[in-house]
Amino acid sequence: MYSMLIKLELKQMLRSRWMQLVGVLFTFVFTAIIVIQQMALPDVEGFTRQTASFLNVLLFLLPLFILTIGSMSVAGDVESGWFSLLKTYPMTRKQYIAGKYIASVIAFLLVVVVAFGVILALGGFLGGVRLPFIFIILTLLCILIFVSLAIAVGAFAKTRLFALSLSLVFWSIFLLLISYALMAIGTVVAGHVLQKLTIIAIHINPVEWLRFGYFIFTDQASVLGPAFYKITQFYSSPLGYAVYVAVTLLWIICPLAYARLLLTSFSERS
Amino acid sequence: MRKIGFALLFFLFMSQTVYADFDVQEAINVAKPGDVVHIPAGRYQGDFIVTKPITLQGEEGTKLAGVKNNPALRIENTANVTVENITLSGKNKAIVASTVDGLELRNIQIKDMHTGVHIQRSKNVHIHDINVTGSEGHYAKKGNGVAIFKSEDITIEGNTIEQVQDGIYVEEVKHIVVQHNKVTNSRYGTHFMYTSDAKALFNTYVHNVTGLMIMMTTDILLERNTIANHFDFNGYGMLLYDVQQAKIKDNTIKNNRTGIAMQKSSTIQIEANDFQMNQTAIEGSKASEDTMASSNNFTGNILTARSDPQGFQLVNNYYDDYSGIDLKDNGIGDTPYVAVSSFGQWMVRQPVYQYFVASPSVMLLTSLDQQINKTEKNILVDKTPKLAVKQVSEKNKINVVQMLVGLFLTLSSLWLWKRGISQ
Repeated sequence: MYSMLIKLELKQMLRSRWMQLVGVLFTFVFTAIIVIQQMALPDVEGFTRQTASFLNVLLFLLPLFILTIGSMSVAGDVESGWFSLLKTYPMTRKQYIAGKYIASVIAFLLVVVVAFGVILALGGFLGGVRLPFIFIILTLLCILIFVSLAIAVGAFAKTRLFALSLSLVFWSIFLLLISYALMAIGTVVAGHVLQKLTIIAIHINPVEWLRFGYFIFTDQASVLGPAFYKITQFYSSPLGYAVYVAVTLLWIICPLAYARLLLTSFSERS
Repeated sequence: MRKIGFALLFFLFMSQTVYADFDVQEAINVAKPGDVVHIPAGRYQGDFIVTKPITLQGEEGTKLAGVKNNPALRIENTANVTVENITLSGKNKAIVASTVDGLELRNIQIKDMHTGVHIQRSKNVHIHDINVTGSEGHYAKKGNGVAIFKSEDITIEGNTIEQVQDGIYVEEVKHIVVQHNKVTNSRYGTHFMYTSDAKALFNTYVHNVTGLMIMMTTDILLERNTIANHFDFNGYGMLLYDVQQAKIKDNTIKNNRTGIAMQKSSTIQIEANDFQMNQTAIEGSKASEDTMASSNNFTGNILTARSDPQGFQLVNNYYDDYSGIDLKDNGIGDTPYVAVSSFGQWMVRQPVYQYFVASPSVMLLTSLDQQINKTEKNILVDKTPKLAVKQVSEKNKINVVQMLVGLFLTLSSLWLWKRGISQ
């Protein structure tokens, strides 16, 4: 029953015109930016405009697509009554959420693999592009974290339209508003206060968490500036790596647990 | 068998500490002015001192070792001394020259010492083709590769220096030329302090904290140097602090945290340099009004320029992110290039903002800035941005393996997608 659900969910996801369009759009934008920049700029190590573009395209597009599609998938199930029908089968909420999670992760992995494949093929034809291993890991983490968040948003929204708008709100908060708020606060508070607030923001914002991880795991923490020397030193140690893994797991588990709680209370109410 | 082994070990151990019979100091003492003292191959330990105009000439395998913390070789109160083909070792300084008029040091190897060459109150000094390798450890515990104090008419060329505090340290020197040197993995590549009439030409500075550190110096020319990969915390390609009259020309400044930083400096000309892939290409703070960056190429830098409200002039540079057009077809963009960005200005005022460099929010902000700041007339505006520039080397050879892997990934994932739908 459980594997049936995963297959069914995956099939629905892959059949969705939205998902197919997202796949094409993601592949096109990603490939265009990476290949054009690779051809136009010299090959150098370190954090450059090229790696910044790569990272930003990843952090801009992937969370947006995952949050909207993932949340609407769950909210759609509730809205259409499919979730109520599933309750009549011998399947727990936990299994439903896990099935949804696994199917969504696989679907988005396929989108990303298509995009990376096209980048490599086209890049290879044009002389070779660099697709650093850390970007692949970061993409995987991005999918794992944001699918989990999308399921929580969908479970909270319960209607497709609300899920869509809520996803956009979360996306803009994570991508832009927290950073802008910090920058605005920085104009009226002392540097050390801003530094502490930024460290908090790194931990409570999954986008910043992934970006921070990129700098740590590529050994380019100096890009963040001397004000963050201590925290980057900590996260560059074995204990820091362990904490990074633990916090990442929390980012995956907590939204799923919250979604389960929401769906259980919804089931009980209805 | 074991006895033979012990004997061999004993022999090997002793061979490290056995010193040659030739008496170097005695040979120096008996030499007449103008003589060449030839030192045969061998290891000589002592606190050697030269006080007369002679040439000390070693051969392959000639090694001088210092005693305790004393320099291995001192040259004092004399003129026209040449030292060549020698390897030096010890704990503290390898060569110390004081009050010498006419000194040439060439083909000298220095390894694992605190300081390589220390020159003070001397003139007409020529140091070339020496090799200094410092020990492992923090820069604070190391000395400099070549250090010159209170001297004049100095030429330092063709040397290779690595793992020291400052590759070449220059303090209170008049008329110095530093050229064709290579300094890597050190704190500063070359460090000028209180110096006047200086030139740094054709040097290569790679992977130091800062390539060129110039402080309280007047009249300096920095030309055709390659300065790359200084991206550590507080790393700069070049940092000019309280410098007057500097010309920075035809250098390649690549992949640094900040390419050139000017603080409290005046009359700085930055001309025809290649700035590639730096996080910030040029940063100015309290730079004088006549400070100007002209005819440079800016390619792939995250931030082209940032400054305090004083700013500096940008004239006729090429910018790869310039989006204007040239209807007059004169090679100059019809609309000004505005390098100023809100984020860049904030970073100068509050360094903590550096955390957000090139983050999604800042990229969006910078894009908006480029629209809004088109009305900016005063700070960091190039009214004559150049359009034509030599192309980055082409990369058009097909990478077959990567192309096949890409095709395989694309086709197999599309097949999986189709299979997922149809099942």
